[in-house]
Parts: sequence; structure tokens; C-alpha cells
Amino acid sequence: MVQEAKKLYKTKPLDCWGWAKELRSKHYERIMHAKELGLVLSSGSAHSRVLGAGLENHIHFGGEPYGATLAQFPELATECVEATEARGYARDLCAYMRLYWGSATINKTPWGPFPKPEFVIQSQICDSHSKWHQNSSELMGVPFYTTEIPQFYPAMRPPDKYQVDYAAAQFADMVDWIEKTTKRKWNDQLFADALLRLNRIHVLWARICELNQAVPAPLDIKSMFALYWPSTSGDINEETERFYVTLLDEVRDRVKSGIAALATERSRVLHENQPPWYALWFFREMEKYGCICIGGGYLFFLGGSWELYTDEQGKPAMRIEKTIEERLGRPNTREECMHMLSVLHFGRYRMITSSDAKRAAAVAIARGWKVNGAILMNNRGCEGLSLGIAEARVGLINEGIPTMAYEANMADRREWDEAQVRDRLEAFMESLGLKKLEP
Amino acid sequence: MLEKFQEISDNRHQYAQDWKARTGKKVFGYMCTYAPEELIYAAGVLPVRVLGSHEPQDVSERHIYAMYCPFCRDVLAQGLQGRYKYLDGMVMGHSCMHIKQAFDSWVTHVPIDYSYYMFIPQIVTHPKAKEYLTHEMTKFKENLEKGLGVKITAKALDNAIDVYNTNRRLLREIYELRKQDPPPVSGSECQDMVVAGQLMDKAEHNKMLAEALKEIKSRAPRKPGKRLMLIGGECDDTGVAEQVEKLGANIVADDLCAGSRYFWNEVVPEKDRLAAIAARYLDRPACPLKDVTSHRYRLDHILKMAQDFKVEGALLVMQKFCDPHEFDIPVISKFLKEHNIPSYFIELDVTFPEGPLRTRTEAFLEMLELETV
Ligand code: SF4
Ligand code: SF4
Repeated sequence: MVQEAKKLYKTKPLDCWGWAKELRSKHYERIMHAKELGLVLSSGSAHSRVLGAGLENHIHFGGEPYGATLAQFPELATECVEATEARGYARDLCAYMRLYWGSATINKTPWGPFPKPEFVIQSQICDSHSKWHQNSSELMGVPFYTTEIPQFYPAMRPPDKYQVDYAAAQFADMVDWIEKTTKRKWNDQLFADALLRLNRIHVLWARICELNQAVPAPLDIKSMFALYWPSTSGDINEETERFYVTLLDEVRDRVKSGIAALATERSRVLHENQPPWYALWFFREMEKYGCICIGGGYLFFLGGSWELYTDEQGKPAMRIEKTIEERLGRPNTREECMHMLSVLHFGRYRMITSSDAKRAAAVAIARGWKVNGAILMNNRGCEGLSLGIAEARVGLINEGIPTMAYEANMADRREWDEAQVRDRLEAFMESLGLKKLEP
Repeated sequence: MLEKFQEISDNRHQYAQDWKARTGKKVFGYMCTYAPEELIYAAGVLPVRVLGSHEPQDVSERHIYAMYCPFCRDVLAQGLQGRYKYLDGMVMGHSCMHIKQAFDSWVTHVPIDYSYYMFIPQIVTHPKAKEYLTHEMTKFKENLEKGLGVKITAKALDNAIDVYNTNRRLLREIYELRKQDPPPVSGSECQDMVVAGQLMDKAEHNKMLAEALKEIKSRAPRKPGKRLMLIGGECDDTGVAEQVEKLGANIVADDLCAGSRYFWNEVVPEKDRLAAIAARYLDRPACPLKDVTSHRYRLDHILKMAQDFKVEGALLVMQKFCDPHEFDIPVISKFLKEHNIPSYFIELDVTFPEGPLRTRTEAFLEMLELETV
């Protein structure tokens, strides 16, 4: 059944979209040529990139974004995961990790040989993090240092001073280790600049996401996945910050002028979890029904700075955090830097370590971004974001939000059942009262 | 005597409810062996581990993604099905995300008066880990006191430490006997003792263990057989060991959380009791997620145990989808091979596959036999 597509809103392409892509290419270009450029190359999780930011000319090769990128090169990706499986590792382990390890094992990336880092640093948020890079360091024969962030429950409660101090102490030890291992000096001011800048970037991204509460939504999730990349994974530099300042202005203008991401928007859904990176058409498919996907917890929280709280009606809600500089001032000593780093870690990663936070965030987003339904991906390739995914659905159902769950693997396309996902989506769209619009 | 341990595991709910009726005290469930039982015990409460029921179910699917391990889904299902209605509280000592999910869903959906989540450092060798965990212990103690309206005195802590250390000592004494060739006690009997201990008042368990020890010492040795070690994740179904031993092998050692990892080391007394307890949990044989740095000290422990118990082959057991053990098993397998200890891998689901287990174990034992020739 199709229905006539009435264009309700004006629309136009995003000016900043190409810039986001450019930032990504430049980042990988620099990583691939780190040696020639005289850069100190570290590796580990993407969020760990700030950990080495006290070194001059430092660049970090983040495992997860690399896995997501590699997932879009089908043949090489298969070769990589198979190389990891041949070493005895299970197929249900983190898919980004299996790609990363495989790529290191066969010494291939889409752009040339695997860029062997000088050292691997990690802060443990998801349980897979430290184990991932413990193994990476053994595989590549490079030194490894890991730190951890104490978890707590319920997640809405703030951490106590002891917990913050414990993580801060570990970060301070890590700096000593980096200096000793690399025989380079750590520059506290450089680190403070990067930390504050990264936090400002996270606040900017949260503001951009918040603008998507507007009807019509100025952004669609597929574009947002390109736009969030520099904030979660890119270089922490002046250009990245400028990019977000410019993007915020552009999105503000779109809202003011009523420019929609989808001209036919008549229904809104949220998507929780990482997307299947090799099948982003999935989000275009729902647009054929006049349904826009406005984002979701994974997209908003990973690159954004939010506070989850309970509002006067006793319901979960979220608001943008003030910048850390506004809250704590500029750190002057190493101790203050490490304390700030610790505070930031605690605030941002609850969504990964806590089922209750994920449930609360899903409900908060559904309310704040005025969705008609929610789509949740049961991710066969990520234990971290699988925490709380079923409970988020329960939370949404309890709020009367229609939901659809589908199974996929964010980076291993061998586990993608396209026909089944299409069928589910179609049935879900129909259950929301939507029919396919004529092109 | 030894069958009594299995009887208690089979009737765990009855045991806990009888204990409650008998003593007029409370019973807490706990998830994962990193929960510091000494503190709960010192508060006058019986801690019982929520173990697998090994029965298929369909109630946890709504709350836990199906690719989390069957064990955590089984644990939650029992709560949702109302099998633990007699519990007065639920405690978790952090080990992994899967069981943390079970804990969250349990305390959210199963009515319970008291719950507490405690973070246990994963970098257990960090110089500040002990101080940090002592702080967590202090907070837990205060929370218990507030929640239960009791005072946990130094005397009560000393008693709990003493009862638990006695328990650990007795179990180690029994394990020591397995160094004999052939051993006088089977692996499944030993595991029955450990599992029962996770469900019982340790003071009562100690009495049973003392008797069992006497009995084992006076027994004739078992038939000679290949000396195997069980290594891996959550495996509280002693049927696995039983099946393997039926094929003529002797399981002489293990590195399991429903096995030696649970009791191997004692609390070494120090003035600050909570610090002493903290040190015990940090120093215990680690699970994969407590062995995350550039030196894998878990391997050292496994090798020492294998050598001390003259192990000829290892069975690597793991719950399906258990990420932590999926990380370590390929490394352990390679490491054992480098030390001339062949191993083979068994994946467990809610129930274990008896037929394939038998066939594969037979093949493995034949292979070991050939290697000896
Ligand atoms: S959160 Fe997911 S993607 Fe990230 S390390 Fe954990 S399992 Fe991998
Ligand atoms: S360690 Fe493995 S078996 Fe135990 S709860 Fe975690 S995932 Fe499940």
C-alpha cells in the first residue's frame, strides 16, 4: 500500500556534512603517516584518546571507530574477522575488536599496512576494553597500560569522592608510565587544553542533539552518525571545535527557518544502540514512510555531555551539562587535571556500564524528543551496549511507547538478515499507522 | 556422608528456608563469588549464592538480551519465577556486565527489601586497590548496619573471618588429597562440596567437611585414570565432572568459581578487619576480568596448580556467550600447550549436552592415551 507523499516541510542538504567527512579522512591520513609526520601514535579505545593528550604531537588510533570504518569494506572485513577467529576467538566477542585484531594480524587496513602504535593505553568502561587491549599489546608487541573507573549502582546517584579520587590516582600513575615508556615529557597545560576542549566539543554535540527536539527535526540519524564522529573519535584540535561551533549555528538556522531533514516528516522514532554500519540504508527505509529517526541514547551520550535526572513528575529526564570549566574552573596542576578527567569519565559513561541509566535515558529521550515509537537493536557484536538494551525496551513499553527490536551485529555483516529486518521494519511502520509514500 | 552435599544443593531452597525458620534470622542472595560474604555473615545474615537451575525458561528474555550468558539469564529467571521469595536481600560484588544485568533486573522487578551493589576493582594488582576496596567494604558495612538495624562488631567480624577461613582450610585439605595418584575423591564429589558451601551456613558446612575429610582419608583410592583439570567460567553443574569421570578419568584440580577460585586463599588477619577482607578478595585466584594488565598472573596460578596436581590434560569449560572467558580460553589453551598440557573446550548452555560431551571427552582421553604411548 502506498500513499501520496505530501511534502510538509522544506529541506536542504547540510553544509557541514562534507566537512565532517573531511575531518575523518584527515585523521586517518595522519595516523597512516604518523611516523613521517613525527607524531607519537598510541592506540586503545576511542574514548582513551584524551589519555595521551599531554604528549606533544600525539595522535590516537581508536579501536572502535576503526572497526566501524572497516565494517564498510566487506572483503577486507571478512578477512579480518576470520583471521581473529582462526586464533581461537569466539564470534560473539566485540565485533570492532575482532576487526581490529584481525587487521593487525594480517597487517592490512583499507589504506595500507596496519599502523603499529608505540604503546596502548586504555580506561576500562565496558568489560571488553582492557581485555581487548591486553591482547592487542601482546599481538603487536607494544607496551600496555590500563586504568579503570569504578562502577556504581544505581547509576543516577553521583560517585563518591573516594571513587573519583581512585580513578584520578590511576590516571596520574598512567601519566608516569607514559613518560617512562615513551621517554617524552608530559605537558600538563597541553593536557588541560585538550581536556577542556574535548568537553566543550561534547557540550556542543549535546546542544546539536537537543535541537533535534524540534518538529520537524533538522537532522536525521544517518547524517548524525557522520556528524558525531569527530566528537567521539576525531582529533581533539581547534578545527574539530570550530566544526561543531559552525554545525551548531547551521542546525540552529535550520530550526529557525523550519528546514527539515525529511520533508515528509509525520512520525518520529528513536534508535537505541549502534547502527549496522554496513546497512545504514535502514534509516532511509523508514523515511519512505514519512518517519524520521531523531537519534537515541547511544548517539547522544557517546559524543555528548548530559546529565540524567528525575524530574518533578518523577520521570527520567536529561539536560545538557555545563562545561567542566564552568563547573570546576581551569585545572592548573596535574592533580587537578587528573581529578577533572576522572569526573568527566564518571559522568559520561554511565550509559555503557548501567542498565538503569540506559532505561532512564531511553524514556527521557522518548519524552523530550517527542517520539511515536522506538527501534532497538539487539547487537550481537557488543556486550557493552547490550547491557540494559532489553530493560530500555521494558521502560519504553511501560511509558506506552511502541517498540520494535531487531537483531544485527554493528560491524560483522555475516550476521545481517536483510529480509527479516525489512519485514520487521515494514510491520512496525504499519503498526504506527504509516504507509509507504509515493516517491 | 558425601552424598549429603549434593542433597543440600538439590534442596537449596528448603535448606535456606529451614535455616531461616530455625534461627529466626535473615537470608540474602548474592551474585558472583566476589560478594564479600564475611560481612553479610557478620551481620547475622545467611548469604546464599544464586546458582543455575539448569532448567529451560522463557521469562528472562524480556529483561536480558539473549546473547548474554545463559547463566545470568537462568539466575534472573529464578527470581522472576518467585523461587527466591524467602530472600530478604540481594548483594552483588562486581565481576562482569552480564551478571550485573541480572542484578539490575532482579532488584528492579523482583520485590526485595534490601539490595546492594559493590564494585570490586578489576585491576586487582594496582597499589591503591586495597585501600579502595577497603573503602567499598566500609560503605557496605555501614549500609548493612543501616538497612538491617544492627551493629557489625569487631567480634562478629572476627568470628565470620574465622568460620570462613576454617571453611577454606578444610576444602583445601580435601583438595590436597587429590594430589595422590589415584586420588581418593572424585572431582564431582569435590565440586558438590564447594557448591553446597555456597548455599549453606559455613559453620554447618564446616562440620560436614570435617566428617567428609575423615571419610575420604579412610577410603581406598579411585581407579587410576587420566588426571584432568577443569578450567574456566561458571560451571556449577557437577554433572559435567561426573560425566567425564564416568569415562575413566579423574578430575584432580580445577580453576572454577564454583570450585577452587571460591576458597583457595584465606583472609590474612590484620588489625583493620575490613582491609584484611579486602586483601583476600583482591588476592584470590582471579577470574578473567580481574586479570587485565600486561602481566597475566592468572596463567601463573593455573600452571602452578596443574603442576602441583600432576595434571595430564585440561577441560576448558565456559558458558555460551560468556565474554570474559571467551577472552582467556584461547590464551590458556595456547599457554597449556606450550607447557605440554593438552586441552579441549566444552561450551555449556543452561543444560550441558551430555551426548557430545561424552563423545568428545572419549576422543580427548584417547588422544591423551596415545600421547602417553
Ligand atoms: S562497548 Fe561494545 S564496542 Fe565498545 S568495547 Fe564494549 S563490546 Fe566493544
Ligand atoms: S563471568 Fe561469564 S558465566 Fe559468569 S556471569 Fe559473566 S558472562 Fe556469565
